[in-house]
Amino acid sequence: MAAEYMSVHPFDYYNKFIQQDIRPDGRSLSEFRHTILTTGTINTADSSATVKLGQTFLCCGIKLELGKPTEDNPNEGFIVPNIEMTPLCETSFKPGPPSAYQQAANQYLLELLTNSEVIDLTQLCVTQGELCWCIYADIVCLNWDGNIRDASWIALITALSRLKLPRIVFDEETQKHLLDKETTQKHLDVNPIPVSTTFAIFNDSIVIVDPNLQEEKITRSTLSIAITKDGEVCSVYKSGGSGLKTCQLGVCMRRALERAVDIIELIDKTA
Amino acid sequence: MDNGEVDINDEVSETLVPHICCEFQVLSKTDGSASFFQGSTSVLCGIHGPTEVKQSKQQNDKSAIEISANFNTVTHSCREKMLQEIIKNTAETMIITHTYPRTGITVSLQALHNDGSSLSAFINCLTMALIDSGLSMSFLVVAVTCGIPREPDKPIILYPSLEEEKLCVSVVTLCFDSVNYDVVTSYTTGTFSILRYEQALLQSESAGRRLVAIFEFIKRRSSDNCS
Repeated sequence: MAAEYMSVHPFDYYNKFIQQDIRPDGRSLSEFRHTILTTGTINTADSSATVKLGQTFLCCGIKLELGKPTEDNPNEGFIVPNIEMTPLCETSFKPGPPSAYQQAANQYLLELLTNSEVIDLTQLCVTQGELCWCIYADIVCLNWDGNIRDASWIALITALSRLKLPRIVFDEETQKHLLDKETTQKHLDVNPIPVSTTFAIFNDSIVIVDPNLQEEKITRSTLSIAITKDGEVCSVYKSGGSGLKTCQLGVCMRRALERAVDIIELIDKTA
Repeated sequence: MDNGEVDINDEVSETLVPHICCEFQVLSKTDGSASFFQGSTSVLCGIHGPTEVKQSKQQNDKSAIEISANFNTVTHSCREKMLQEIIKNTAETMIITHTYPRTGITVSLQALHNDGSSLSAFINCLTMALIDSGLSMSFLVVAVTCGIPREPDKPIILYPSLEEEKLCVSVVTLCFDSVNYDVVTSYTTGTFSILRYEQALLQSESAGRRLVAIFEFIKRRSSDNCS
């Protein structure tokens, strides 16, 4: 009976719960879903991480390749994130080129990397102007239950923080670059990590944290805040939709800060 | 008819917004158009709609809005796609799309000259073109750009030029609605503290109120000229 009511009147169904300050899945308005993080799940990748945020399940695999740096930035390498959302994760996705939604999610990750400068790209330079590391991070969504931004960011940054760069030596005799397998590889230097928190605005007035898929569909707008645990904000991204008062923004900032502390602890604890 | 120059900068709020100049009906083949000058940055916008759309793009309960924005950048990256999404979502907030079901509204934006604060110039120009097009709107949306300088004691720069943007550690674009002055859109680059963002919010809101007054003045002047 409840399931039929939910499919015919999703908004009213949801409203009845919100009026009692609770959501259909039992969470309060400011509660996150349970987050599980594991690393090293893909053996063939240079680094990998799997994230389960409620039912949103995705994994990030990183592959290192050597390439030529651009002329504008001859001493910097590249990090190329790519989110793949196939029909496997949700029926609304069709095979083929990424939709505008996927491209926006991809761009969000890229913006976070650039804004926060969490990874100094000069570490990826092998020889200035000639050789640099390209980090290809493929994030495959296996099950989509909303909030792709937060989950994919956690997977990406965890995989990057566990990545080890091999040493490249230049062999004078053969005039070629060789991989030095004997020296221990070093981890990438990672600056303070920002954590992304997404909010959805229900009925133009009520802010809910960590929306699942059903909540994303019935709300008009989302707000994503990326903040480090020391309070440095890297992104406040709100793309149209219902208006938010300044005081509500302040509350969201503080909730995002609390979340940042929890997630950094989770990333540090994970082996 | 053309609106010509508008200059109502008074002493008190002179520093809040740059010199604004707006012309309506600049393109004859569109349903609504505007050219918008914000300091030295200028943008042109043309709107077609409501028009017929393909079955695949049709939505039963509202109009499908399509944005094509040309930022005049040399390389095309996902960044332009994200900015287009932001402009599209802002347009969807402004237009009462439920008034025009199963139709499409096409918005074309072209950057004429970029001297900083380009995203806010695009959104302000879009608002003006929508006024000219006569589409039903719930409210106007005004956009303000703030530049947050590197030094924490320096004040926030409103509508920074291209040179000033390069010296800033972060650039924040905020959009407010004209009724309650709630934040409709927020887009940031760079890193900043919560305090700085709150300062930017306060200053942008004052600038937003000023801008709404200017837009209302332009609207009244142009309708007086028409009648």
